[in-house]
Amino acid sequence: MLSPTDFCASGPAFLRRNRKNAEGTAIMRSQRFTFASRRLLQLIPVVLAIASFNFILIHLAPGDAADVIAGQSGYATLEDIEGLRQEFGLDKPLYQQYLIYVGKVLTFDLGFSWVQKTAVLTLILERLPATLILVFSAVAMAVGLGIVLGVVSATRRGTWTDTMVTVGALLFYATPAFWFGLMLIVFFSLKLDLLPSGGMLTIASGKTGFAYVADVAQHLILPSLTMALYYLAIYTRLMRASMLEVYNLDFVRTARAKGLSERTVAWRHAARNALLPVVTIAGLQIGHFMGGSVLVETIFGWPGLGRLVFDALLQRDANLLMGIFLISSVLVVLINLLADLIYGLLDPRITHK
Amino acid sequence: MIGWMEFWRLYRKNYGAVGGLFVLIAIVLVAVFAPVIYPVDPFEMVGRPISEPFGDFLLGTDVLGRDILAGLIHGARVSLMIGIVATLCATLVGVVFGALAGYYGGHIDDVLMRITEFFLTIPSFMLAILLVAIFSPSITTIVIAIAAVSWPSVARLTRAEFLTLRDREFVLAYRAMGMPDWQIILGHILPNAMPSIVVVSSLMVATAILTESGLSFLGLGDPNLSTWGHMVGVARGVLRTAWWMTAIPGLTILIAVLAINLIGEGLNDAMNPHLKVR
Amino acid sequence: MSRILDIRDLTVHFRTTKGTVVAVDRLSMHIDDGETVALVGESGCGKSTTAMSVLRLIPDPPGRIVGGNILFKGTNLLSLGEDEIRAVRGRRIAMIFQDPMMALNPVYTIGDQIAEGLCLHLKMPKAKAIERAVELLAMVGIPEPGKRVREYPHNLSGGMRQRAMIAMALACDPKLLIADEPTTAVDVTVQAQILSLLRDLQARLGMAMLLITHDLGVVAEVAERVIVMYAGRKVEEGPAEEVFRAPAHPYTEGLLASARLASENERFLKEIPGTVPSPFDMPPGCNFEPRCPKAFGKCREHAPALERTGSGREVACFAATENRP
Repeated sequence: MLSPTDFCASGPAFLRRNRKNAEGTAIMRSQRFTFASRRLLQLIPVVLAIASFNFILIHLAPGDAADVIAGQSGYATLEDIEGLRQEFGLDKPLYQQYLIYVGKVLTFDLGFSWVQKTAVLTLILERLPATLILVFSAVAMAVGLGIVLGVVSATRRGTWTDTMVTVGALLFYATPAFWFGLMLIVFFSLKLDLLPSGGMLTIASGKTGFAYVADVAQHLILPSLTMALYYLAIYTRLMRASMLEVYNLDFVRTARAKGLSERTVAWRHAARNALLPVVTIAGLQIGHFMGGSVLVETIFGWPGLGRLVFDALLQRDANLLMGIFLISSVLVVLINLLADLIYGLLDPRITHK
Repeated sequence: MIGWMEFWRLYRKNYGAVGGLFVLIAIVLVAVFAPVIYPVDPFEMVGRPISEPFGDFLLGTDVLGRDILAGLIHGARVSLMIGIVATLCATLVGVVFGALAGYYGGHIDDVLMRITEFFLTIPSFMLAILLVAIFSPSITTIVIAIAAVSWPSVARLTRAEFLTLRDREFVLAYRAMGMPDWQIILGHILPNAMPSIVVVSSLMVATAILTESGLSFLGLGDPNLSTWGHMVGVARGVLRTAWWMTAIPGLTILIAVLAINLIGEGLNDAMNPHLKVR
Repeated sequence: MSRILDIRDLTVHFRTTKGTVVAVDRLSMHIDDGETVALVGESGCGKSTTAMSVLRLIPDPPGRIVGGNILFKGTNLLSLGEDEIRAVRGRRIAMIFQDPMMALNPVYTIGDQIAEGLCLHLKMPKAKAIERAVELLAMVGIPEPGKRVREYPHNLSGGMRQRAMIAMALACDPKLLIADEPTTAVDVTVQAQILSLLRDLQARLGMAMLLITHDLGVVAEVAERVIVMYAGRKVEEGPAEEVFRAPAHPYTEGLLASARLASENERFLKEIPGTVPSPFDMPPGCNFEPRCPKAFGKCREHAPALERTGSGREVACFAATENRP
C-alpha cells in the first residue's frame, strides 16, 4: 500500500522547510514561539483552578480535613495529623487556609504520602515516564492505524474490506477496554505464551541498551493496543468520512488530470488533507487517553501514574490522588499544546496568531 | 419535528439500529422482569465455586459460588439505571449551560465556556475516580460523578446549536414581538436543537455504562450491588484458570453498549437525514 | 493541417435515482494542430462533460461514456487501458479547471505540485523539477518566481493561482490544453490578462486549445472556431467571427442578443424565454423548440440533424436550413 516514494517523491513540504526561505522560516518560528509561550502561560490558571477544586474537595469530603489529607489508611499517627493541622493552618479562617494550600501547590509541594513514606511529587515523577511512553504509543497507534484503515476503507468503499473495517470499528467502539485487555492477556500470554502478561520489563533481567528497548517494546504491545482500541475505532471512521468528503474536492480531480495513479491520488493528495480532522480530534482527546491509563496500567501492572492511582485507591490516600489529578491535568495541557503545534506543521493554512 | 411514522421509516432503514433496538428491549425486559423469571439472589451462594457454564448453572458460578447468570441479570438493572439517570442529569445541566451561553453570548458565554473548557481539559475518568473515592462509593456518588464528567460535551453541542439558531429569522421575529427570552429558548429554539441533543445523549448512555463498569472494576462500585464491571474485577484473580468468568460479564457490557450505539446511529439517521454520509 | 483531436459521436450517460440522463448526445467535433476551439453553452449543456470525457475523468458511477470515439493524433483514447490514459493525462493533453483556489492542493507548495508532473512523466529528479517549475512560473508571468515556488496556494492572489495552474498544466509540454471555464472564477480585470497569456503561450508552444465557457466575450477574444451546444447536442459550429456576425441557429442568436446589451445601449436585457428542459423530460423533436421564436410544426416532431451550410459551418435547425424567415 504505502511505499516510501509515495511520501518522498513530492515529499510533505514541512519536512523540507528548514532548507528553504530563511526569512519565511524565521517568521514562522517566532510566531510559533509566541504561540507556545502564551499557551504555557495558560497553565497557571489551570493549576490554580485545579488546586482550588482540590481544596474544595478536601473540605466537602466527609470527615475531618486533616484526616482526608493524611489519608484514611491509618498509617499516619495522631501526632502526624496534628502536625498537618498546623501546617495547613486548619484552625485558621477558610481564606487563609486556601492561600496556604495554593501557595504550597505553586511551590511544587503536593504533600506527603503516609503509606509510601515519600513526597507525592516524587512518587509521581517516578511513575511519569512509564505513563508517557504508554500514552504516546497508544496515541501513535490509534492515529497511525486509524488513518491507514480509514484510507483503505474509503478507497475500497462498498467492498467487503470496507464492511469489515466498519463493523470492526463499531465493535471496538463498544468494547470495554479493561475487559479487552484481560482477554488479550488470556489469549496471547496464557494460552499462546507469545507476549508477557504484565509489567514493563522482564524482572531482574538487567538488560541494557538495545535489548532494554526491545524488552520494553515487547511489554508495551498489549497495553498500548488495549488503550488505543476505542480511539482507533473513532479515528478509523472519522478518517473514512473525511476521505469521502475530500474526494469530492476539486484538487483531487486536478491530481487525476495530471496523470497520477489512483493510489497516489488517494495517499499523497486526498489522505494528506483528510487526516487533518483526525489529528485535531486526537489532540482534544489526550485527556481521555490519560484517564484510560488507570484501567490499562492496573490490568497490565504497568508502573505508571494510572497504577499509582489504583494503589492510592486501595490505600485510601486522598492526597496522592489529588496530586496525580493535578499533574495529569498539567500534562494534558502540555500535550494539547504539542498537538496544536503538530497540527500547525501539517496544515500550512494555519497561522498561529 | 417529524411525525412518528416518518421517523420510524427513516430509522428502519438502518438494519444495525433496528437490531440494536431489539437487543436493548430484550435487555430491558430481562432487567425489569428479573425477579419474576429468574428469582435467584446474585449474592446468595448457591453452588460449588468456580463451576463451568452449561453445568448445573447456565453460566456457572463465581469464586464464592454465586450464580453468574443472576449476577448478570441483576447487573443489567443497575447498569441501565445508572446509565440513564446519569445521562439525564448530565443532559439537563449541559443543556442549561449550553443554552444560556449560546443564547446570551458575551460575558455569560465567556464564563460558562471557561468552566466547560476546564472540564474538557482534565482527564475525565480520573475526575470520576477522585469524586467517587473521596465521597465514598455508592450509587448516588457514582451517578453524580458520571454526570459531572459527561455534561460538558452536551453543553458544547447545545451551545453550538443555539448559536446557529439564535440568528434565524423566526427568533428575531419573536423578539420583536416582545416574547420573553425564556419562552423563546424553551418553546422555540430548544425543540429545534432537540434532534442533535437526543442523539448525543443516547450515545452518552453507552459511555456512562462503560464508565460505570470501569469504576466498578476498580472496586469503586456500590458495595451492596453487583454490576457487570464488578464481576469482571472479581474474576480477575482466577483469570488463568477460569477465564470465562471474566469473559462473560465483559461480553454482556459489549453487547449492551453496542446495542445502544447502534440505536444512537439509527436515531441520527432518522432525525438528521440530511447529514447522512455513506 | 492535421487534426489533433477528433471526437466522433460521443455519447455520455449519467445514472441517477430518477433515471438515466443523456448528458452528451452524439457530439462530433475536431480540433486542428495549434487551433483554439471554444465549446459554448449554458450550464448543464454538456460542455464540461465533453471536456472531461477526453481525458476519461468522468466518475463512473454515475457517469459512463456509452458511445463514440475520441481520437487523439490517431489513437482512440476511449480504448486505452488505465496505465495508457494516465500516460496521456498531464503529458500530452493537459487540463485546467475553473476555480484555482479549490483546484490546487492546499497542503503542498506550488513548486511541489508543478514538479509532481515533471517527476512523474519526465522522470526528472526533484531538484531539477523545482528549477524547471521556477522557469515555468516565470513563463506564465508570475513575478519573483523563485520565491513563489515555495509558497502555498492560499498565499497567492486569484490571478496568480490561475497562472500557476496554467504553469502546472504546461509543465510537460502538452500539445492540447483543455481549459474548463478558466476565467469564470477570476476577477474581470484579471480575465483579460489570463486570456492574453493563454493566447501568447499557445503561439509560442504551438499548442491547441479546447476552451469551455459560457461567456461569449471570452470566445471572441481567443477562439478561432466556436461550437454551440444546447441540452447535450451540438446546434451550431463555425469560424467564430462568422458565427458572431451571422448566427444561424435561433439559440445562438438568443445568446448573442443577451450578450450584446452594453454595446448597443439597450435598456432591457434580452432574454431567451423559458428554461432549459429537464433532462428527464426532453422535448420529442428539437430540444430548443419550446423556447424557439422560429419554431414550426416539424420542429416538434423531428430532431434536426446537423447540416453543412458552408465551409466549416454546421447547424442543426430546420428553420435555418429550410430558409424559413
